[in-house]
Formats: sequence, C-alpha cells, structure tokens
Amino acid sequence: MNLSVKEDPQLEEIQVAIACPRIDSRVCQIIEAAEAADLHLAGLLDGYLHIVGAHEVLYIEAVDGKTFLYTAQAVLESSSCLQELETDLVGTEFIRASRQLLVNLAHLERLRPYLNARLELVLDNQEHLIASRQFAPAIKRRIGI
Amino acid sequence: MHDFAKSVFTSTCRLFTIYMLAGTLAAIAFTGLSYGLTLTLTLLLASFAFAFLRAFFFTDHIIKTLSYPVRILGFGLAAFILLTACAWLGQWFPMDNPWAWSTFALIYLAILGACCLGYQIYFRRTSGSFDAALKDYHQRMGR
Repeated sequence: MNLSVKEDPQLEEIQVAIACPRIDSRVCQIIEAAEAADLHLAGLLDGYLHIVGAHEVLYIEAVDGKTFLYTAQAVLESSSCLQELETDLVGTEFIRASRQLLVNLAHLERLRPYLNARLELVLDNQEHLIASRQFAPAIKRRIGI
Repeated sequence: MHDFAKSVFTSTCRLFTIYMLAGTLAAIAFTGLSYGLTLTLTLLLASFAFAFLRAFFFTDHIIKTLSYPVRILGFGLAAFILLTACAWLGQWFPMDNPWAWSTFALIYLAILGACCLGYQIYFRRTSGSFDAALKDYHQRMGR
C-alpha cells in the first residue's frame, strides 16, 4: 500500500480519496477508519444539545442508568446507552475498560498495573481511571503489550 | 494450552482444599484430635486467613481508597497476628522457646519484605514497558 498525504491550505475540510485495484476487506477497513475519524456524538448540557467530535471525548461512563460523555471542558449526558455507543464507536480508538466505562485511547497518557490484575489509566487531563481485570487484557493487546 | 493448564491447576487447588478439610474433619470425628490433625487444621485456617486478608487489603471490594504502603502495613500486621494465633493453636514450634518465636517473626518479615521488593521490581519493570508500548502506539497512530 502506498500512502500519500497532500497539505492544501485552500481546502475547507479533509478529503480522503482511495484508489484501489478492487474493493476488498482491507479497503473496507480503511473506509471504516476514515468514517470513524469523522464521527460525532451528541450530548445534553444545561438543557442544550451539543455535538462533539468523538475524538474530543476522553471517556464515556455509565452511572445510575445514565451515560455521560466526558470531554476536556464539559460532561454531556448522552441519550444512548453504553452498549449502543460502543457499537457506534467500533473502528475508533474507544475501547471498553469496564462494564461502565469506554476509554478513548487517543487521550491515554500513561498506564500502570493496579491491584488485582487491573490497570490504572491516566488520561492527558490527569484523570485516573481503572480498567477491570476482565477488560485489561484487551487494552494491553490493543496497545501492543 | 495455557488456559487449560491454569484451569487444571486452579481446580486441583480447590479440590485439594476441600478434600483436606473433609478428610481432616472426618479423621477428627473417628480418631479424635491429634497433633497432626491440629497442625493440618491450623494450616487450613492460616490459608483461609491469608486469602481473606489479601482480598480485604489488595482489592477494593471492602476498602475503596487507601494508599499502597498503608495496605502493605495493614496486611503485614494483621497477617502476622493471625499467623501467630494459628502457630499457637497448632503448636507449630516450641511455644516456650523465645528463639523459636524470634525465628518465626524474622522468617515472616523476610518473606514479607521479599514479596514487597519483588512486587516493586515487577511494578517498575512493567510500568516502564507499558510506557514504551504506549509511546509506540501513539506513534503508530500518528501522534
């Protein structure tokens, strides 16, 4: 695969064009990844609906039957449940860290072993999250440990 | 294969504990309490005590927020007290010999220290390798 990137200040948004001899599974994966990079999520804050890019969300947590999107600036309440968001975010850097938590690995600054085979995740806003022992191996595999 | 071996090992440990407990209680019922049977019972009690303390101090099922050094201290003290009680109940060594007690305490401290040191080494090595892997991951993602 040859990858070429052309920077053009005159463009208003990113344009992705894929040239391929045939559309196979690899091309489909590339298309999915490109679509995932442009994903947006909606959440309520102070009665107003806000649209944020998925890349801005640090993590998503389910608490007391409600789902919250945590960005660097705000916490938005999503109308979708965690499972729905997990499905929508397939192909992105979001990964399940526990039964109540989805973490965006793009904002992961450090990770440490924690008690009882869990992982301590430190985000780039210095928040500490704990990945459960059930999901810690998947996080390690994704990162390449 | 690894999961299979792990499953066999875990089941063996569980079954051994059950068989030992049942066998010891049955032996006591038929033959009465002897030194060997008391020793076995106190070893089982010590095993249960350590498992309980490990779950109490090193998971967050009961204690949610406590620093790691305080956990080590709490576990160390509580485990020593319980182990001493089991040693006394089971007459693991001459109870009226202060040297025996000193050796017991020293061995306990040595093992506890070795475990703490071992975990610290493991933690530092693992954290270092985690940091390197995470850095590689971010580079692969173009950050």
